Amino acid sequence: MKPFLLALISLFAAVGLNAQSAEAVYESKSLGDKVFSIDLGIDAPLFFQDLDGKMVSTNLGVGGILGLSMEGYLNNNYRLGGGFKLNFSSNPNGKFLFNLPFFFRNTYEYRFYPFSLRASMDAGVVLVSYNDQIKVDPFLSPSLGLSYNVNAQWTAGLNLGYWWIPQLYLGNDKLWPQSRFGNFSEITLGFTYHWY
Amino acid sequence: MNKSIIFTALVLLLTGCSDPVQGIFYSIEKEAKTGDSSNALPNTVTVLGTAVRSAGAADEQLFVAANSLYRRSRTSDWERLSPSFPGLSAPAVYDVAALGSTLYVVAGQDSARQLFSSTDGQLFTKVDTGAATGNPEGLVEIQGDTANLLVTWNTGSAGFQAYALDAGGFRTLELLPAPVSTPLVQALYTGTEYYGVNGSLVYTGSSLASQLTAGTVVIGGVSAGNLGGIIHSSVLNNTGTKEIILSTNRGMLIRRVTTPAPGWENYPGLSALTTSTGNLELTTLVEWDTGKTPAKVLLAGALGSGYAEAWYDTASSTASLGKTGITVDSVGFVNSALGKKTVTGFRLFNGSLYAESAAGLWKYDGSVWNWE
Repeated sequence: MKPFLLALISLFAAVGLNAQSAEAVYESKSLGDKVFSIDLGIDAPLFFQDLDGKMVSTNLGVGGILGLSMEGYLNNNYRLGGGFKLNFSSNPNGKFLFNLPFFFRNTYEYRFYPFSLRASMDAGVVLVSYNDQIKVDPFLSPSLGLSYNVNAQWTAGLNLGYWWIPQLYLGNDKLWPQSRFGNFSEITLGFTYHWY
Repeated sequence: MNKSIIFTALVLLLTGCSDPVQGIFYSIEKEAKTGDSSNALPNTVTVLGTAVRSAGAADEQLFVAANSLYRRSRTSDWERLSPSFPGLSAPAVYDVAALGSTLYVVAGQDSARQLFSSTDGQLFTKVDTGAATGNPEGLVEIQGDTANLLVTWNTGSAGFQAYALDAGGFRTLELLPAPVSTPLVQALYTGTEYYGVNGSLVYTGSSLASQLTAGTVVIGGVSAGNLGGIIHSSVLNNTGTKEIILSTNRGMLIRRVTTPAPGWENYPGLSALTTSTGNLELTTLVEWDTGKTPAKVLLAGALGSGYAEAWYDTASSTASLGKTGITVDSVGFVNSALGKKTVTGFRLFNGSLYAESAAGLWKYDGSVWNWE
């Protein structure tokens, strides 16, 4: 009986120490620490907006999304990096719209062990492809994420994001009236690897 | 090295895009659901013929491709039919046309073809074609005449023969001068006169019971032959006074008018369809009133391997190639999904315009062509 109790106490102590060290590592970030994130989830097209501000249906269904990004910490809370994403969704005729944004990311992270809350802003360009047409447009995407600290290296969580794609046909008088602002949302599961 | 790869990728990213044809988000917003949700229609084969069978509220649209017959109503989806033809165990369908509620098809097996009719699209009976020899080639509906249909017949060494078909039966239609080396491909009726076009000649006559004679088309004192001739392209204008519109090999649209004196004249405001690289020779035409305001009539035409359109403004009597939002490339093709497909004919059904092509059936909503 006595050896079993000793073993149990030792185990809890080890777990406690491990948790303590993970918390210590997790709570303290410094310049040079990095994160690599994989996001997987669904893309929900919201609406298109014309140049008069009128909102119209996108005529698209819910699709999928995949994202990869890498960032480095500037201090305990700020990190800077970039990445790319791919979302796809189909219209009622089964044709797919693909958006492939490449972006720079700026993130503020607030941690309260074992959770962390982040707010990010992505800015860059997006390759929009549909029906044999491709166009490069600006891309802006604010997002929020809540993560759980699995261990010192990994966090997993839920992200909510908004995509704004101004598709403007500048310098093309005929297509200018067809300019639209694309509005999409994303809900993803995010897995982030930290290394130091 | 890494920098040069990144620079090259960036240049490709920003410059390697296709010419804009339509706003991408705009075209997605406008794209209507097509009638072929179950994807029953073949999209990569040539459409051999289409027809609209009148059955009151239950009008049907029919489509022949890959030697099969497809059908849909105003509200239903496309379905592939399994028609029954007497004497044919493995029938192939080559053409379809409708005369009121009766459907006619050219169908056959091996190299022999026959003419069949049906009132339901399923059970066909052979049409009594009397002493006609050879093979039926195609069915030609007559614009402006709902009582008659033309059948072109390949007699082999004796050239092509034409027959008129109505509820009363099948009879020979004489085309002069004989022999006829090219079958009639389009026909129309103004209410007083029949016109038939076979690629280079325009036949006219007052009755299908007598004969149609090829005449000379003269515009402003100049024979159409000197303008490159007539190509098989005609349309009956129904929006104003009935008139025939033809296209010439020199990119011109001409029309037959009855006042002040019967004769041919250049289409007003659209004397020549030309681009920087040459004339547009439209091989088939359709007139479509969009029903929108301001009133505009679309004169859609098929080029050799593409599609062009001219919009006629009925208020100002002027026409222009293309329209706002639709660009035309240097050889005159409309830059749309249909733009560089080979269009073989047009069909109106349920207020929409359809194009028959070597790549399936397409539907137009006034701004976007969609695959059916």
